[in-house]
Amino acid sequence: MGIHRVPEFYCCYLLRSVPKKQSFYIGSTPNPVRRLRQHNGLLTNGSAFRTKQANLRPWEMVLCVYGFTSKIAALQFEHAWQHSYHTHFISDDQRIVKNKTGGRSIHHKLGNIRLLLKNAYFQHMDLVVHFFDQEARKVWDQNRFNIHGDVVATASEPDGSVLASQNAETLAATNLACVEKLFFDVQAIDGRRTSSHDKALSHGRITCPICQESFNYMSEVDTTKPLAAFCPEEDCTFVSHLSCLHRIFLDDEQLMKGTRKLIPKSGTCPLCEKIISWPTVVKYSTWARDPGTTKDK
Amino acid sequence: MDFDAAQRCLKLAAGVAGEEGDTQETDGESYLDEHREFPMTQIPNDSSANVLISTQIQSKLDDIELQNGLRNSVSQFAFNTPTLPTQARKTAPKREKSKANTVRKARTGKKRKKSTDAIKSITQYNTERFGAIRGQRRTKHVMSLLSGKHGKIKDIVDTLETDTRSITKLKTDTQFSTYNAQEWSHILQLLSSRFPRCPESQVKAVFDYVYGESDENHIWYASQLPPPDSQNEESRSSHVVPDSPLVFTLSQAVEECNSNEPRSNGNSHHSATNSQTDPQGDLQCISNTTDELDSEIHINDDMARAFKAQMLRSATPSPAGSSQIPNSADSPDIVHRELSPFDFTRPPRLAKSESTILPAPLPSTKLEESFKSPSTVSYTRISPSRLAGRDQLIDLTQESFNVVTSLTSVIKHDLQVPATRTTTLNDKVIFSNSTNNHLLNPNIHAPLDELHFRICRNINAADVFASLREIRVAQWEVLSSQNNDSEEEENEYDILRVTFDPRISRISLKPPASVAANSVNEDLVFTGETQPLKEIVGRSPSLPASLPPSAQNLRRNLRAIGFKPKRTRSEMLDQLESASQQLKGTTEEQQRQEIFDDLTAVVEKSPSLLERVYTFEPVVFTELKRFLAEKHPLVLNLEESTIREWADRMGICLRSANDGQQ
Repeated sequence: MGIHRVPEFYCCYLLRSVPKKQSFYIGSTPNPVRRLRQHNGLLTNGSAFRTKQANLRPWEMVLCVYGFTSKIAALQFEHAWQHSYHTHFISDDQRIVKNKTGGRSIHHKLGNIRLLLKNAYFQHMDLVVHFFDQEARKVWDQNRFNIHGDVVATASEPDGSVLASQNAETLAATNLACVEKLFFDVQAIDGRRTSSHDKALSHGRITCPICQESFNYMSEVDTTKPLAAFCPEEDCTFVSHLSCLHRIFLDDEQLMKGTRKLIPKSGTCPLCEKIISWPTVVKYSTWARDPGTTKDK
Repeated sequence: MDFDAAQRCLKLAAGVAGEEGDTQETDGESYLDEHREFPMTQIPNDSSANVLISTQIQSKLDDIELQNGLRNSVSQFAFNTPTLPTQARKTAPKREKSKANTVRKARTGKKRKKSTDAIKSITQYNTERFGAIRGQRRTKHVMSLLSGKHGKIKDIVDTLETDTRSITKLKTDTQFSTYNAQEWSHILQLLSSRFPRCPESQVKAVFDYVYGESDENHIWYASQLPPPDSQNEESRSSHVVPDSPLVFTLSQAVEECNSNEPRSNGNSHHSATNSQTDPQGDLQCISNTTDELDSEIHINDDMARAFKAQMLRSATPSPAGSSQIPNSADSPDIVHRELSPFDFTRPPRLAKSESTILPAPLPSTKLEESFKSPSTVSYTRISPSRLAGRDQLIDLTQESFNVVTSLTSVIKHDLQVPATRTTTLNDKVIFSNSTNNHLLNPNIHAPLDELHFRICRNINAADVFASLREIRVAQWEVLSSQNNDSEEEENEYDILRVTFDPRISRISLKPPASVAANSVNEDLVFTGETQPLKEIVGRSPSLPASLPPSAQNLRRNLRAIGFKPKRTRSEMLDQLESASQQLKGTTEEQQRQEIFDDLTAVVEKSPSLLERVYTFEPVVFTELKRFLAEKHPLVLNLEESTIREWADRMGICLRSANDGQQ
C-alpha cells in the first residue's frame, strides 16, 4: 500500500530499569522521546505492559539502534534481538544466548547487537548504535564476547554525567534529554537536506548527469517521476536518477569486490567524490518522491 | 542328538561302503550273505510303521493291503531271479502274528539281523543301538504328533513290531513305497510348519525313515534296476540317482563355477560352440552363429525350469546333496553355461533380431591378432538410458558431467583398477538374475569413443544400426573386409570402426571428455571385452563402486544445495539430476551459490523489482517467490528457507503479507 518511503527515524532501543539494574526491555519506535515518556508514565496514552510496574520505573534508555530503512526491518531487528536464542539472523555457531531464559546481562544484550549488525541483511542499512549511558558504552567497548565487525557506535555526552549517582528522577530526566537531543539532531540534519533537495527539484527540469535524460518533479504529469538521487553532502548539488546512481555504485562495487550484489553499500559521489552511503541516498530519494509528513515536523 | 547323528552317519557310511565295507559287525557272517541281505534287512519295520502312522492310510488299511499284495506279486514277477530276495516285497500289515512279543527284539532290519547273528546279549545290543532307538522314538513321536492319534498309532506300531519280528524269520524284505509324492510333500509341509527350524538333516532322517535309506530300495528305483549283481558297483557309488534331474541350488552352482572355472570354461564353450574348435583356449569363445545363440538360450530355459523345480522341492532331501555334486562331465557344463557371464551379456535384442555384432577387441594393436583368431567374441549390449543412470554408470545424482578425472580410457592399458572392483560372489548372484548388468559396468565406465565391430555378412545391417540409433554421430569406417577361409568360420565379416563424435552428441554444453563417457553410457552401445573376466574387471576405472544413494542421503544432498526434497526417492533423483544439469558447481556449496547468483540475476533483469529492492522496500515473500519461479523454474524446487537466506544476503527486505504498513 502506498509508495514506499524510508522512515525518517526508526530505532530499536534498550531500556534498563533504574531501580532494578538487571531488568531490561527491548522495544522499537519511530519516536524514542515519546516512547520513553510512555514507558515512564509521563504520557498516559499507551505504555508497554512490562514497563508499567511501579517498582521498575523509571526506565533509562541505555542505547538505541537507528537508521532502519523500513519499519519492517526495525521490527525484524527488534524481534531478532529479543529472541537472540533462535533468530536466524545469528548463525548457530556464533550464538551467545542459547536458550530462552539466558542472556539477561547487559553484556549479552550488547553482544547480540554486535551479532545482528554483523548479519549481511542488516549490513545493508547504515545502522548506528547510539549510547545514552556511559556505563553501557564501556561495556560495549569491553566487547566481552569478542565479536568483531565494524559497527558505527556513537554516544551522547551528557552534560551532567557526573550526576550519575543522583536520584532516579534526575537520572531519568537526563536520559530523556539525551534521547531528545539525538532525535532532534537527526531530524535537524534531515530537515536541512530535504529542504535543499526540494530547492534543487523546484528548478523544474533536471538532466541526469549519468544518462543525460531529464526529469521534472515539478511537472503535473504524475507518471514521469523517477526517483532522484541527491548527494547527502552539504555543499554538493549532485542530482541524478537513483537508478543511474545505483548502477554506477554497483559497478564500482563489483570492480572492487568482484561480486555482484543488488544493493550497494556506498559509493563515491560523481560530483564531489566523497563517499556517500547508499541507504542515506535512498532515504532522501524516497522522501523527495513522497514529501509526506516531512514538512510537518 | 549326537548319537542320532552318529547313527545316521554310520548308516550312510554303511550304505556307501556297501556290503563289502560293512565288516565291523559281520563277524560270523559270510561275505555273500551280508552282501545279499543288507538291503533287504535294512528298513522293514521302519517303513511299515510309517505306513500305518499316516492317518490317511490308517483309514484305508484294506486298500493298502490290496495294493501291497499287488506290488508284491508284481515285483516278484519282475525280479524272479535267484538273488531276488533284495527286491522281494512282503507286506507287513498283512501278517497277523502272535501279540505277545518283546518290543525290544524288533529293531531295524539291518541291525536286528546282525544282532541275531552276532550279538547274544540283548542289553548289549540295546546299549549299542541306543542312538538309533532314540531316533526312532523321536520319529515315531513326530509322526504321532502329526497324525494326532496317539493311541491308535501305538497299537499299530505294536502290531507292526510283532509282524516284523515274524518277518525276520522269513528273511524277506518288506520294502514298498510308503507314500506317494503328494503325500510326502504334504508331510513335508506339515513338518516345516510345525518345526520351522528343523534342520535339513533331520528332514532327511524322516525321509530315510519313511522311504528307506538307499534309493535302490525304493520301489520305483528298484523296479528300474537290473538284477542287483550287475548293478552293485553303480548303486554303491552314488546315492545320486542317475535319472533324477540334475539341478543345483544357486549357491552350489556358483561355488562350482568358482572352483572349476578354468576347466569348465573350456568345457562349456567347447560344447556350446557346437564343436567349433578353439585353438586359443583361454580366449573364451562362443560361436557367432545365430543357431547356437538360440540353442544356448534354450538350454538356459531348461535350466531355469529345472531350477524352478528344484526350488519347489528344495525341502526334499535331494539325493544329490550338496556334498555330492556329481563331477560327471555333463553337469558342470550345464551349470557353467547357465552362469557364464556371456549368457547374461548377450543383448536380448540382438538375440531376437538374429543379428550378431561382434566387436573386435578394442586395443587396436591387437586388431590383427583378433582377425586371426575369429573365435574372439564380445557382445554389444543395449540398455535403456534410464537404467543406465540407475546402474551407476554415470549417476547424475552423484556427480555432474564435469567429473572426468576418474574415468579412464580403455585405450590406455597402464591405467589399472583397484582390486576392490573384483567381482564378488554377490555380484555373481546378481548376474544370475540376468537383468542386472553389473558385469558390464567396467566397460560401461570406460569412455569409449571408438569401437571396433565385426559385422557378419548374413545379418541385416539395419538391425545393427538400429541398435545404435541413439548415437547421433557415428562414423562407420570399414577397416577391412575379411573372408574367412577356415571351415570353422562360416560367415564373412567386416571390421568396422565406429567413431562417436562426443561434441555433437546430446549434452553438448559439457566438457567433451565427460560427454564421451556419457554418450557411451547413455547412448547405449558398449562392448564386452573378449578377454576373460579378470581382465574385464581389471579394466574398470577407479571409480568407487557407488551404492545407489539412499533416500536419506538424497534428502541431505538436496537440502545442502537448497532444494526442497520431494517425497519419493525417484522424484528426489530427478531433482538432483536436474540440478546437476543446470548447475556447474561440483560441491553443494558451489551449487548453492550458483542458485543464489541465478536468483540475483533474475532480480537484476527486472527494473521495477530491482528498484524496490535497492530502495529497501519490503517485498511480499510470496510475490517474490512467484516472480522468481516464473523466470527461473528451478525456484519451485527450492526450499523456502533457501530463498529467504538469499534475500537476507542480498539485503532484500521481506514481509509476510501485504496488509501491514510499510
